[in-house]
Amino acid sequence: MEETKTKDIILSVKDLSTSFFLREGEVKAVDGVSFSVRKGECLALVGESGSGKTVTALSMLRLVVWPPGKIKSGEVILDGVSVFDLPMKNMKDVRGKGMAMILQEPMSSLNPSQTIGQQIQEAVEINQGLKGEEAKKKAIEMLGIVRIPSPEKRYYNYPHELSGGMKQRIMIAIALSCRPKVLIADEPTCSLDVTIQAQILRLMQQLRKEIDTTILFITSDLGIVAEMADRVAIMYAGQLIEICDVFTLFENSAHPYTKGIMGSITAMKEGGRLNIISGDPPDLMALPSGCKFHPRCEYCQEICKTEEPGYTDLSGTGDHWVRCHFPLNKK
Amino acid sequence: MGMGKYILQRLAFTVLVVIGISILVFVITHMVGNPVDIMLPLTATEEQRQLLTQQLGLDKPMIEQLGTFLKDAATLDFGMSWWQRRPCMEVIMDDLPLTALLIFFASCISVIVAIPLGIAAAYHKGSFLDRVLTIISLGGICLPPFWIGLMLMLVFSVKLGWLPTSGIGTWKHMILPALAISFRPMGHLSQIVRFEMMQQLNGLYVITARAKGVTETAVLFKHALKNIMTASITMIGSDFTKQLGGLSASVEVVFGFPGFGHLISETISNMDFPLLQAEVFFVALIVCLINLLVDILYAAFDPRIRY
Ligand SMILES: Nc1ncnc2c1ncn2[C@@H]1O[C@H](COP(=O)(O)OP(=O)(O)OP(=O)(O)O)[C@@H](O)[C@H]1O
Ligand SMILES: [Mg+2]
Repeated sequence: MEETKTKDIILSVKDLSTSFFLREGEVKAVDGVSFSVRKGECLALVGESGSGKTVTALSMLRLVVWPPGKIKSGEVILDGVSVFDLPMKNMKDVRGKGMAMILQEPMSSLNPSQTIGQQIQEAVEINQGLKGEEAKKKAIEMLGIVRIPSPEKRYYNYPHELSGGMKQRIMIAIALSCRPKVLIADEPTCSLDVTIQAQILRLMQQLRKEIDTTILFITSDLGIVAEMADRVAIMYAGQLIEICDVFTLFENSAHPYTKGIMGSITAMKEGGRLNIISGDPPDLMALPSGCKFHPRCEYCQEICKTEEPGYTDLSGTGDHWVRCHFPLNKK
Repeated sequence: MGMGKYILQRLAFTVLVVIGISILVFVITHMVGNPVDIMLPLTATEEQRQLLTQQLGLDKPMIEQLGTFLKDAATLDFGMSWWQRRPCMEVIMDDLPLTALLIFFASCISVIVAIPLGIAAAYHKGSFLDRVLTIISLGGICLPPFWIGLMLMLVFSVKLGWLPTSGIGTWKHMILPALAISFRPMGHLSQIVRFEMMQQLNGLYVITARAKGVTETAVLFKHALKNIMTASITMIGSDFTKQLGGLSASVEVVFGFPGFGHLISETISNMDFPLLQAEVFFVALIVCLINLLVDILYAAFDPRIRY
């Protein structure tokens, strides 16, 4: 699947596959994922729990640990650099400055025995080339930027002395201190209560305007998608099944799964969470033949059970792709 | 609660423990046998026996004997050793510092070797290196220290002639016994370090660190090492106190090292109550102090622990 406007593309992922090899068998967590992100945009990666969003992001940074995880194939091009072709010891140049990641789980993603100041400062020192007092000043400044009150004092706090929302902001501060070309935010609000969620989102939007980064925003919350994203990639069972802009997602999505999770727009406005579709989530160790979604698809036909659909370009311009034999969009 | 107050409290607790253990040992040793039977030849007359019983104060009620013992112990006076016929304190001060030094050396060797090995094994878990290191550390735990001592002596003293076979006097005399003692703590510690490090490397904060561009060396030594220290220190402390409590005896015998472990076993076979009392007193005291030190160090490595 190629997108037409290639000149302002900063990150492209091609045919990425990552599996976990467990005693019980191979878990195909990511299976042939391809997408591109344009400079300055926010691409949302959406899918239900276990669809492979986090593993996709970790694979891009080569942070999947063997054993049991292994990147089987794929190519990641970040600003002209082929990430998977680099020797492992050079990955430290891609991580941070190239792509920084806010992990999903703020509670355990900070080192318990270092102050939060030290942990931000380390990102500053590695990625901004500052040292000592200067780096410390920058770290304190970052604490202010993510709206932590009295940053000079908080610099010396340990993670256990902060609330969940504050830890999440520290994670954001660490990622921003890397000055990344692409910021990967993995459900940065999912473990927080609604008010703090709103605060963090507002903060991320403000920061996005201020520093103009490219964002890959992983979420399973359609309300957040509507608020933050320019384009959306929908994931199901380790595969991307539809990519389109946000307007198309809400008005004219094509994949039965996408339609399913969207539910009715009104329900959407109330909750924002993915609509629940009937049927069991796929077992990644025993995926169905043909289209991975066919056992749960109400439009399923014979061909869907045997033949895996390829990507179809619906827009003709490369902006709306779907992986379905019978797309539902209005022509 | 401040650190100072915590330490004072723990010291007061230490005093209680030492007194309690002293009483326990006093009561038990006075129930197991009559020292007069051991000290006098079988041919001794009844008068001789009674005289000695009186001299040793064994005719007084037990509670009175205990009182005298505790009062004297408070001034570190444990009376005369029956077996060696000189003050107990003198006997202990001859052997304890030397053995403490020996075990300290052994602990240092074990820490210096086991921590890097454990980290390497954890980092390359499942590799050939990991398996070899696991076998070596299990060997260190299972092989009897006296046998390790004999082998070391065979190689380094008898074959190569680098180090003396036995005796004391110079630091050279310390090397082989310290090495022989260090194998078991080394095995324990490297297993603990390997396990703890594997857990830490699975932690999400390691992913956070790598994701900001931290090198692998810094991940291990700047981030993870501090988090495995509490478990490691617990192990180091517990092995140190076990060695001091008599485990070092067999190695001391092999190297003709007049140490505390050897002394304890001799004391028991000679049924020398006063000396045994003094030995137990010091072991209990040192165990408590080392545990206190371990707890204080906890706070230095884990900011979640506050006293
Ligand atoms: N370390 C691992 N070992 C084994 N399986 C794993 C591991 N990490 C992820 N998986 C599997 O890979 C699949 C995809 O997981 P992933 O974390 O990417 O899902 P996700 O889309 O991020 O879900 P969520 O919304 O819950 O975060 C899941 O089935 C998961 O069980
Ligand atoms: Mg996830």
